[in-house]
Amino acid sequence: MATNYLDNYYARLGLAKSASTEEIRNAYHQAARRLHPDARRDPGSTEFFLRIQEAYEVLSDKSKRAKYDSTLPDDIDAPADIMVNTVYSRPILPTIDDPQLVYVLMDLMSKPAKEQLTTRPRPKINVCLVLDNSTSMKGSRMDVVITSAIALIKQLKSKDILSIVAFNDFAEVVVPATVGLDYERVEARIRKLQASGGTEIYKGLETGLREVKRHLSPSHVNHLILITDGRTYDDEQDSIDLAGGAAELGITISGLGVGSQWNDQFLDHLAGKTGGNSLFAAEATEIRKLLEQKFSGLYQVYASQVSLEFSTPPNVDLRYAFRLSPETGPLVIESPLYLGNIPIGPRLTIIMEFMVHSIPAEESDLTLAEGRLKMQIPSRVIPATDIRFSLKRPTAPQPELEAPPLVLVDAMSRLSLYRLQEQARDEIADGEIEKATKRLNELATQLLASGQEGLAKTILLETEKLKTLGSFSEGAEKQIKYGTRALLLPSELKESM
Amino acid sequence: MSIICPNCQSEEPEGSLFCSKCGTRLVDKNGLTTAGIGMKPGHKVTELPLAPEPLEGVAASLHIVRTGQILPLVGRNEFTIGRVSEGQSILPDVDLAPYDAYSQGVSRLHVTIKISAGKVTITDLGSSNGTRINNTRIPPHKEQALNHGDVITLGAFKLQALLHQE
Repeated sequence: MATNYLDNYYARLGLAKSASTEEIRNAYHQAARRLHPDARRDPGSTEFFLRIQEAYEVLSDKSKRAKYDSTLPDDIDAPADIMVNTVYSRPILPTIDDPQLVYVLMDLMSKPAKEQLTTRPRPKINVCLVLDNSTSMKGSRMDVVITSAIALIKQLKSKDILSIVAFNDFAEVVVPATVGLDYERVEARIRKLQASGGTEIYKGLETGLREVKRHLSPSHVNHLILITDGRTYDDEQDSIDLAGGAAELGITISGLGVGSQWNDQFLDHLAGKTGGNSLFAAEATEIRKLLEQKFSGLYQVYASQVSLEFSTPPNVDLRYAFRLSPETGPLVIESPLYLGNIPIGPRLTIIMEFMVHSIPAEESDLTLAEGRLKMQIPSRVIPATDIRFSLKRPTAPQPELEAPPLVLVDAMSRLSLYRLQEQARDEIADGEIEKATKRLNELATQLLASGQEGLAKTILLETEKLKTLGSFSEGAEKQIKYGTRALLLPSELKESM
Repeated sequence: MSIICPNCQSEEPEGSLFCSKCGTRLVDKNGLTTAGIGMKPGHKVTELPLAPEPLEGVAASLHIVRTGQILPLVGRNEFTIGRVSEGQSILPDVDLAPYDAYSQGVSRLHVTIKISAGKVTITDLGSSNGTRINNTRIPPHKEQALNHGDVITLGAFKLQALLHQE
């Protein structure tokens, strides 16, 4: 009977020692559906399934479970070592019939000191690079992708897993997911890649996810990086659905868009659905730096697959949510809200905008949202118990006005610039050019006032084009979006945190 | 209750921190909204920003709404206001170019302000984007009276008149 931290029956089911009989049953059924030998043909999945069955046979029997529990170390069932801080825009909410906005900034950080954590081995990664191999990638783009991939493979440690999938009209596994890659063979294989054909993201994504799933485990950071320079047609919704399924399994997807032709809104949605984000490389030369940052981020993960399972009362809506750190990007508003990873050291910071439709005068407090915070700690293997949370504020008929916390105002001042850009894009899509022009001019003025002259100039030039052409140029559209998003990076916010 | 943005007059929900239309900050450091508290929903008014105190011993000055800077009008009785640009022969007395006047549609010679016998007037000089006083467009080349606290909009550039009432 295996009874250590790295392998115990609870861990096999993804549960904590305190799990209820019902939770054990549910976890088993879920795992069984996913891993049953009839449903899966991947090598190793049968063995994995048998191990889960062994665990369930013991844990589902009261007396066997008690006996097993007594063999486990006491500290095996620790909650996640995570600190949660919340900052509200108002200490007390006024009881009014009219709609009001309430902002909540939530900070999640790893509790063990950074020094303690950095001496630990970094988490193992299980990553698939999904490369767009269509005709438009030909030349310097493909060259940079290939040399970056080779450089990244050389950094891998023995237990890391990296697979590579190339796609155009078809998807092809270039390097299958295996532990211990043979660099020279891999290098020879990817150097042979020939760019041709169109961009069918769904096929690439499906094949890439299959590779990640082969070694899916809570002790790895499971991730897929999609690199594309084009648009996919007709399979966008299917791709988004695929991402939703990946998130449920604990796989995060990031997107890296190259040049000006790709669909940033689609890539944001796709990545956001899993807690990942999208990045923009205007030039091929930027690909390498972005990929290196992405990997060093994955090596810094303390908690992965962080998600908020939440519900709001009927008079409250979560209208907008955005992650400020460690990787900036909009979150997809639904429960669970996938938040990505909590790094060692820096925090995971999100900001949420709640619309409260009315607060009856007789209420003395208001719950904005409540639920559970879930995550995996790859370095610990033992699943972290969920953290319950409740975002609640007292209410009063005429509360005294107080300054909103500086850190929140500061974050919102930058986020509001990003959102002006988002709204202008929506207006352009709706053909409301005049409104969009006005909004962009306001955005440019605000940027000038905060010393962002380069970005402001790009916007002013674009608004001129907008008036005559009725649309943005695709490159500038992305420059403006990722430019305003970059203002939200932690380095920009650090001063006030 | 809702908040009227002092910059673009857009109506924002209670609790907003920044205007969703123009990004202007709607709360000051005391947590007070800059304008419009206690307003009935749908009640549209031209809400003016609170005027700062006029400068001591200066008959008139101009408050740049967006940045909060105050430009005193001293040393003469008539001032042209506009922006200096390259190759311009007649220069305005008050140059708004450093305040991003170009992108906001301020003409090179936009208006003149006259101070005489305690009365202050403004005249649009046929500017390309026009002038508004408290959001009402004024005809070009016609003298208009100016009162303390009035918001003068040159194109999209907002200035507030600060006058010492004698």
